[in-house]
Amino acid sequence: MAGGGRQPCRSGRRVAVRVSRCPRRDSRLPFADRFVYRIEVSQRCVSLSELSGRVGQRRRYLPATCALALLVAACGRSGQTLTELLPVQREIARLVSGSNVAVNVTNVRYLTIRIPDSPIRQLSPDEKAQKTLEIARVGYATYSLRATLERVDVVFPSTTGSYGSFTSTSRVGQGESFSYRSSQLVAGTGLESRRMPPPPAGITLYVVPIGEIPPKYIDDLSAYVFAPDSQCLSLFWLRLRLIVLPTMV
Amino acid sequence: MPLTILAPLAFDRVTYDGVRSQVVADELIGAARRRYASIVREPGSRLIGISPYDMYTQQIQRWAFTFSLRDEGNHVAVVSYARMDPAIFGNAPDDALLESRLRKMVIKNIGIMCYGRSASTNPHSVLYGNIGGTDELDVMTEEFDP
Repeated sequence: MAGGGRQPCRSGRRVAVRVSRCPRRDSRLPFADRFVYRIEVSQRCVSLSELSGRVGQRRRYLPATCALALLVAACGRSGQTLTELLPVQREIARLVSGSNVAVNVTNVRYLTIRIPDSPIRQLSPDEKAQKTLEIARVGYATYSLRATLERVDVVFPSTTGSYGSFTSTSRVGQGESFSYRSSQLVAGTGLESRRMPPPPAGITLYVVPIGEIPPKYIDDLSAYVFAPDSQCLSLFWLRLRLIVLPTMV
Repeated sequence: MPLTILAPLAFDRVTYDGVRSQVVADELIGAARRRYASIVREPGSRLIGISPYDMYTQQIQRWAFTFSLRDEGNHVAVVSYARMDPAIFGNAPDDALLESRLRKMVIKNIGIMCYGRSASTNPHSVLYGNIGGTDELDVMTEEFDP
């Protein structure tokens, strides 16, 4: 019998490679600093010999395992996307009280939520639209890479049958597919329902465009933020003055 | 609350950092203070500049950009919407989305500068303090205490 340290050789040492990728969510950081890769080689979890069925040939598999780990790290974006999609799937499944929910992202821009054979299809058009918007909003808010999304689609396909663990989807009927732009899904507050406390007296706010800004942005901003209809300013008289001052050269 | 929209402040190259190809938010605040010195001196006046230029702050240089910066007294702030534009991700232009993000950032500054509120830890509050990008802006509502 060999010495204690070498004893496990014949039975195969247990080697596991673990790649962890810790994203830092702060997108203000440089891209290279946003992710930390950590590759740990452990000798506890899985036996290589158990995996391969060959005893004593672990050295042959270690480089391959490390290469696989590096490949996984290199393909991190796919893995990350998958990680980001799982919470969306769970949240939507919870919302619709069903587990048959599929979520995928195409070209980083289009999030598609498929709920086959959902009872939502039986709702009236108005109720269906309302529920679908709610689903899309939850999906958008839960997907942590939402800044890249341009559109969220919610689809209620009907399925024809199952073959083992595979399900074949036959068709998506008219009125069973909904599409929303990101601007329809961001959190916001209706102008009529916004609640802001009355501002302290003696405060005067000045807004100054810096550089060339489409006048529409400033107009919409002042109309929306300081609209007399909002509860905040319905209590106060809105005074809008336009002071024309020479521009700085 | 009285609101006054001032005449546009022209771009000043002194505020531009050629190395980073960005405007320095701190310099922008300084330029606005100098340009509207009499207004800034008024008691109770608050000045918010809105800029289309990508900017960063010298206070935290490792940040690639900043949406907004306020001066120490919370009397002057600048807001940039350069990185709020969906087009920077290669997406189709969406003015409604851009304006929604800009509005939230301006309301946040109003909350802090005019209402004396402090930053919030609630990601749904417009006063949310840990905004790392548009991901956070899109989850924020326009309420102080949703």
